[in-house]
Amino acid sequence: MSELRMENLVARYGKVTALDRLNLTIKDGELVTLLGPSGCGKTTTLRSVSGFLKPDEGNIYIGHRNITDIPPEKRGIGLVFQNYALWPHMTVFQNLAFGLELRKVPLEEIRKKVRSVLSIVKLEGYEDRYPRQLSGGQQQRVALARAIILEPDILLLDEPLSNLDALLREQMRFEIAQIHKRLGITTLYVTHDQTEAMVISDRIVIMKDGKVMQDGRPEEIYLRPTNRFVAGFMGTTTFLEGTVQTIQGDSCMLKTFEGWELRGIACGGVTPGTKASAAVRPEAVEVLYSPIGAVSGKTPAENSFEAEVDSSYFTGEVIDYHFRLGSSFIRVRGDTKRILKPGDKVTVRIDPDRLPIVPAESI
Amino acid sequence: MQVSISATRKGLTVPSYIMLLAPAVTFMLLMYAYPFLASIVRSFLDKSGAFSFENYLKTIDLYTKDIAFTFTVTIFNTVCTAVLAILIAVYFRIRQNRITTILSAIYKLPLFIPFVVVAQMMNSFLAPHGLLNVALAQLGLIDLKQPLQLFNFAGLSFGFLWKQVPFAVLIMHGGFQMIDNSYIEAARSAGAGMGKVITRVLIPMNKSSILVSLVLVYSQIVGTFTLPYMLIGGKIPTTITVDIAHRVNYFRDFGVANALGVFSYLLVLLTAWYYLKTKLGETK
Amino acid sequence: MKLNYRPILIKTFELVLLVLSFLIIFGPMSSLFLWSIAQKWYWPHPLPQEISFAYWKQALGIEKSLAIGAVSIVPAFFLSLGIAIVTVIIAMALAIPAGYALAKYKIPFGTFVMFLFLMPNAFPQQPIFVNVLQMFTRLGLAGTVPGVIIVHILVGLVFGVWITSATFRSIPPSMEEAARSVGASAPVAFFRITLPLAAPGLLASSVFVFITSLDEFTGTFFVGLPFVHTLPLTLYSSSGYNMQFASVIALILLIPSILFMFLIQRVLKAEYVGGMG
Repeated sequence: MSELRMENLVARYGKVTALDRLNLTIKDGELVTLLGPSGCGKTTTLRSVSGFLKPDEGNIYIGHRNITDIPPEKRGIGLVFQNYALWPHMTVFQNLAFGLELRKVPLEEIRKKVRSVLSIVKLEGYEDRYPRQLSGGQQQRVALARAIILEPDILLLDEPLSNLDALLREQMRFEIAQIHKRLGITTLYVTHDQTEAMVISDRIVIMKDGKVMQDGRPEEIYLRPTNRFVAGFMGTTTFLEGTVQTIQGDSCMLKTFEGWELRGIACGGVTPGTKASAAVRPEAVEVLYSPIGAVSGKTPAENSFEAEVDSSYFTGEVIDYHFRLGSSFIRVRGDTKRILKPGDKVTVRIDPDRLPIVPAESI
Repeated sequence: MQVSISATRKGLTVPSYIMLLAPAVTFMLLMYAYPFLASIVRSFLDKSGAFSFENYLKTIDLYTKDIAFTFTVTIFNTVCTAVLAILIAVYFRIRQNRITTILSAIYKLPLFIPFVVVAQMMNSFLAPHGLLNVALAQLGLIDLKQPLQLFNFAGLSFGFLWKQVPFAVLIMHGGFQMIDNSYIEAARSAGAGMGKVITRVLIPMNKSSILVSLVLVYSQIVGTFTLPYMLIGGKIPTTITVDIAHRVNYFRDFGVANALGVFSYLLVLLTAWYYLKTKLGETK
Repeated sequence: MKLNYRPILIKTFELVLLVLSFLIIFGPMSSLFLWSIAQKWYWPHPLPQEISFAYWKQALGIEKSLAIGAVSIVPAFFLSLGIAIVTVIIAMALAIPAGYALAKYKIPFGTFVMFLFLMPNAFPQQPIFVNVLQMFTRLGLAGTVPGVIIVHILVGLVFGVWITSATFRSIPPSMEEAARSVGASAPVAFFRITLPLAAPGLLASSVFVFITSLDEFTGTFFVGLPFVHTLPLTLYSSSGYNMQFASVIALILLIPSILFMFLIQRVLKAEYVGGMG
């Protein structure tokens, strides 16, 4: 069983603590993404697992094997680097064969394996090319092939797509996810791109300052963030601050400083009477293109507020608005059918099922 | 528990860089640092090994003129190198035609010629009846009965400039090439003429490579032994390096030789400080 | 209509500059060449009256004649060559690990090590040689070939270390890490991945150390005299009395340097080249 387990990992660079008692388990066959801003400790975690950095404290296990003091070459871990790290003085074949050669695998078998792994990454017939003769995307595939050809217990990918252009990046996301499904290797993936993490992961681990901020399935992380950091990190989030009034099951009523009542989902253990933040995402905001007064005869609906357009930005697909809502701003997307001008008054309705309310204090 | 594990973990790893560096560093400590310190210490010791200023008194008595000469030669040639090299490097930067192509191909030649060959070359070229005087006489510029005497400050400077200007140009040229055309175009569109572009944009932007090249030129001229030794030799005035050789070879007087050495250190103190400071800053 | 004289003026100036540069660069060199083939050259003749390759033949050991007073430089040449080869081997054996360590590790006393390897560029080296001579006299190394080799290593090592460490620094650490991740031990990763990638830079560095040793004068002058006659010292000792012979040696010494120039220009940083000679 190749489960990857980290127990109480601590890593310090001088006075900076890069990993602060990190505990993390990646189950057999799972693809887990470490996501976080630069300096959050995700690369340190990866380097600890791969063996190029010795943690100051704690242990790392693959299955029941403690690998903390085992040198990198004996860990049985496949690695894909951000800069691909293909050896420029070797052909694709030689790059892929190197590890097998060191294991004294017979040449015939090496040939067979190289061919099969190249077909997995869709690069049949590229054996004799040198890395410099390949495009960025192809180099990325070779790097992936080199990491999986030894059938490692664990696969580590360090921001593998960050050097590709946007289109190719999108395509490679799906391919990596597919290859993972097909091979079922326990995989740890590091990225700072949240969409990438969403698409490919079974589980996402959000990190900050060497600590895990949240660990869960992609939709959990997005829709049920447990703290303000995660809520702000995922999606295009703007916050409305207030005090929790009541909690009924999942549902939470927040009173903003303006005195407005805002219903959302209670996340991260908010309790009545405490300060909390409602994480407003553009997709949860519906724009009713008329001021509240125009909806005559009715009391204003729940979670509906009057807002004023502060600025608007045309992006092609949608229009990015900044709305003024009392003393706060929220970001809203509107369709291009009807374009609002700064100063226009509108009514917005925030979907309570897509409005996480998290504790206000940032961790 | 965890703490003790971490302590042994760090303690167990013998840093491999110590093994890798040890041979070269040991060599440098023995063959460079020790002689360097010894040269300073021994300059303060008399023949019996007691502390004294005897060597310095003797040095000042005998060689003040030579120290001044060395300093003058060095300053003069550094300044000339600066002017010539900046002119040539700027010229290479702003003009690209067949002439600059030819020039930039040949100017590096002296750079690769060892000082001992340069010395011999100058020795024959600048001699009273050498090629230069003969050629000038052919042109009717001088009378061969009174040829130019060049085994002195003038000839020495010609030799130094011949070798050092290409070196300075090479470094400066690299720096000037790094300056994007857009900076020049921006200055021109702001109304600067070519002169202003050179003095206000190109030279200030390339300040560091200009300074480093001149610092290296300066300290090399102070330390060069071959050229003055073969060109001027024991004539008065001569350079510190020649005096050191004479002190050692003719008198086996290491004390005064070391005192002279310390004077040559003092001459480069400022440039050495600047060089070490920038180089150590770069590697960090 | 007004004629624009400026372009013409500039062109003329450039042409004058070109001619002047040629005269300044090649004048002294042609003097060497003329002397090396001058059988008879009495002033005030602008050119040698009699031309022959007698001194070349004599120097290269093809002919032996006592009349022109020159001797064969073949022994000196082989001595210089031998010293240079041994110097390269030892200096690179010291420089490669040191350069690697400086490039790849964060060394706690790194600044001190850097300082040690920068000092020789910043300060005159002659006083060093003087004190090395004193040391070698005590150790019985003065005037011996091993003593000269040690001094040549000293001169070459600094450049060797800087060039090799720059070479290693240009190789991303992930190259070696990738090799480790597919099962190569640290030494295997170094020899199979890093070393081949560094080969051009290490070769350049070796050639550099080689040429430095071949041309080294000052250190050899102090430590090697009067018994070790390398090519540059043979040049020096003949320059006083036999202009032709000295010119032949100078030209012979010039050849490897010029070859080196064409070989190395692109690989090396400008600064290192200046440390030569």
